[in-house]
Amino acid sequence: MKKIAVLLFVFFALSWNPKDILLAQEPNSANSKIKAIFMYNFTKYVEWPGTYHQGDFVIGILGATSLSTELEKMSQKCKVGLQPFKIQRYNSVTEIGKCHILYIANEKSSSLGSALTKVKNHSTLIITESEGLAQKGSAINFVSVDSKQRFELSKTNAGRYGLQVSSSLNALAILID
Amino acid sequence: MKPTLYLNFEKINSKVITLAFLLYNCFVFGQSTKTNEAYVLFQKKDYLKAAKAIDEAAANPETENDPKTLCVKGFIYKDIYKTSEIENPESPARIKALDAVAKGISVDTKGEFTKNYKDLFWYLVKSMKKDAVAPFNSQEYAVALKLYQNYLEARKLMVTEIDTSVTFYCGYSAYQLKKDDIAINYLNKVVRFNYDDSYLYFMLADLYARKKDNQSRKKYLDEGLRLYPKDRNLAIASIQYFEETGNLKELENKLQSSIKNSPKDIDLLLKLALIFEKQVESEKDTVKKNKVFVKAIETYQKVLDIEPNHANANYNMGIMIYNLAVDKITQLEFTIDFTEIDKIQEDCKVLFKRSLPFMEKAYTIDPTNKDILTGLSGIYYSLDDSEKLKTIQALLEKYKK
Repeated sequence: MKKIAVLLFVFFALSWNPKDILLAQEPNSANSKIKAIFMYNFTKYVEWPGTYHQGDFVIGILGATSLSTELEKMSQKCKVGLQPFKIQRYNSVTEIGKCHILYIANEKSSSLGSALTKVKNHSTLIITESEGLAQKGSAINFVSVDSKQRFELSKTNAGRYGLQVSSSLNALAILID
Repeated sequence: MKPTLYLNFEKINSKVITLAFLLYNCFVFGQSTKTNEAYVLFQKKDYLKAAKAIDEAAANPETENDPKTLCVKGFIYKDIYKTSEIENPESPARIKALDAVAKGISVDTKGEFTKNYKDLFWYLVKSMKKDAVAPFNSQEYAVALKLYQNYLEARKLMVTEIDTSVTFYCGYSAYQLKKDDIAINYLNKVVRFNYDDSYLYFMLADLYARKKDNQSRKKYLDEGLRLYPKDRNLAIASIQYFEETGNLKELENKLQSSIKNSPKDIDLLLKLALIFEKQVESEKDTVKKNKVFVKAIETYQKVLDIEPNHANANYNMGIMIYNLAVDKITQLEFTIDFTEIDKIQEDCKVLFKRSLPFMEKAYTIDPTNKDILTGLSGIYYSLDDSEKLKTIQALLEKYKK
């Protein structure tokens, strides 16, 4: 009997399983991390009055921002001297209480004026993240320059709230005044 | 692609057989019986009357166990099959012919008709085998399996050794039909006879994978790759095994070995790059992590050298570099000093810029892919390109709907 010849041509297209696809990391998380690192550094280069050296080191956040997640993480890992961080969220200016730092999220930029009034009797470092807000009263304003996170510094605005800014910070900042 | 079976069927010249039978029987059949009558009608090709006469003879207690009667019956029904039922794989005439042969062999104790029975038998079983070829080639595996099984069953009448080819086809058909136990049974029979087909090992490995029997799966993959080291299907199946069992280093070695044999195989290169990517994710040591990262990038580059417009390779290259930059930042300690941050941001900016052309290329190849759009928006965000970011985000919104 003649041998039966078998020709098997089997081609298997190797399709990639969706689980194999790499997904992009959330870019906000990197930006928020940098801002959080900056904020931790600010605590080293800004001097609060002595009465602010006790209890929690309070960071107030006005408005929604992805930065709050990073600040929460920071609060679990770091302290300012012996002071633990406390992250306080505010939905409106009326809720703002005594805090060491007040971060005004982009969506609440228009509330800067009323926020300044609200904290006028406190030594609060006001940080914003919208163009031109350092000129309108915040001490520090985050800006993006040449694809890098930078910050504007108004020593005058900081001084209004009884805060001393180290000259070391000048070298790293975009000085407004 | 469907497998193709080319059957070079060795036809038996039935005229020669019939003639030999006729001459032989001039001496054997002398008396006027129903058998003789059937034979005469058979010679005249009056098959219906011949069948009626031989059926009567076969039903007669005096001739029902007569080897001559059964032999004539076999030939009559064989010719009925051949002249009017050859297109019918379930031909009743062929079944009757085979029954006559089976009974005839058992009663022909003197072996007077052995040659006739053998000729009849081989003609009939080969015709059964031939019937299964067309459905097999046209991927009608249920039909093919049944016909091949019929052939194997009929074949047992005179042959004891295994028909490895047909047993393989039965296994293949059952595999395609996902009749796993049946497939394993047939394929394990032929593997014992060293049947020469790499796909045998692929199927067995896959069947045991379906049964979650990783030990047997690996055994057949190893044996298959030992026998067919350049077989791509086995190489990929082997890679999948290691991937599923989580042994990435062993998988990497296997992949490197396969790529040596097929250096231009994009699928293998992509798999290898993915292994490196997974190692980057899991490696804690920064130096080692960077080394593996470079390997991944080099491997994706090899893919792009072969096929510059490969969407996946462009995407993966872009996303790896982009993610590396993001990870560099997100993994920083909060306590890091300002001065260091500035340098890290500068490094990351270089990486974001480096990732951009790959992601933009992927986008031009596959502009509606949400993963690519997400990656691209991340890069534009990181590079502070708000105009392009808006465009891509609008597209993402559009495709979400």
